[in-house]
Amino acid sequence: MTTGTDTRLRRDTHLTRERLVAAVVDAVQGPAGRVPLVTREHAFTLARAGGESTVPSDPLLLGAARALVEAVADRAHDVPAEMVKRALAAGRSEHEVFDLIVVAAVGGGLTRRELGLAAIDSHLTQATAEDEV
Amino acid sequence: MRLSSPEQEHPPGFVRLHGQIREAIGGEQVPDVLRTLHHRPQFFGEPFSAWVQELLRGPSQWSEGERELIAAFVSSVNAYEFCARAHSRVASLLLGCRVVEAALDAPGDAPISDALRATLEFVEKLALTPHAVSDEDVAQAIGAGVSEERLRDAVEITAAFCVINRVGSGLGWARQSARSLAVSANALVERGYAQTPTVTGNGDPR
Repeated sequence: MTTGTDTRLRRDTHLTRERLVAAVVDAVQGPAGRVPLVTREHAFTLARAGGESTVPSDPLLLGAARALVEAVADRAHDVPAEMVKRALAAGRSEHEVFDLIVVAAVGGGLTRRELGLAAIDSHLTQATAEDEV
Repeated sequence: MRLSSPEQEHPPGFVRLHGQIREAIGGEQVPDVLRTLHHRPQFFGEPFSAWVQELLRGPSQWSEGERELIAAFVSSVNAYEFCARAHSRVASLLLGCRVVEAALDAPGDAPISDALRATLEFVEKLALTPHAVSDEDVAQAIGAGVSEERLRDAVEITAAFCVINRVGSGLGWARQSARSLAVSANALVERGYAQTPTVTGNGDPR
């Protein structure tokens, strides 16, 4: 049986998690980053779309840098060292490459969070509708 | 690591902390995961560690050991060895080696609850083919006895480890030694993940 206290605890837990996830997103798009904010936003969009998104033309997110973002977002293993070397050779600084890797990783992970939670919500909506019929 | 800045550039308080960690692991290098989290911690490490602390040590219907097993399993299906080894070690301290090894090798035959087994199946699909996850997968997990809350917790853990697996893979974290792994696992059981101290204005941990 679910009590009012359980419901409040669940709500508090959900709110806490939403706040913590928002803090991660705010941080990678905040003042501690070294890549211009607009590039980080583009990289984040690209990562969340699994590389299928067209982001506005961004001179810092072309060629090797873009390929690195797409690779990190796409796979959690075996991102070749060569891709990092190529991004550095293309003129991106170490700090910029660090930022791009982190932003791409956050985008890749949070896409999974969004899709997983959406599937749960969809199932619950459907189950509630069936109960009401 | 592939970049020297996360290897070497840390606020002064973290440099001192790294000295203590090196001492605890017999002079070996501080694990790359910590060097990454402590590099410009306000950019990523500090908020990410707070999120992971909440997921793996905060309130949940899953035990801490079960959550560590989910983290290890996600890292394992992601084929990201660094995190798979680290979290299976922590899970083993909490659940026992036999259970953890069996669950990682073949969850279908492992001595774990049906709910955990169904959850591992769900998170594998979410980690590897997220766009293919549907409400049917949710129905299957719930049908196997997984509560909605437990499934939400597992989704969050999957997301967090899909983030950190990617960061480690992109940066090329070096494999931890057995000694480093053992010390890390004990520290994570005893103190959790909130060990990235909040940084003050002068770069010192609070």
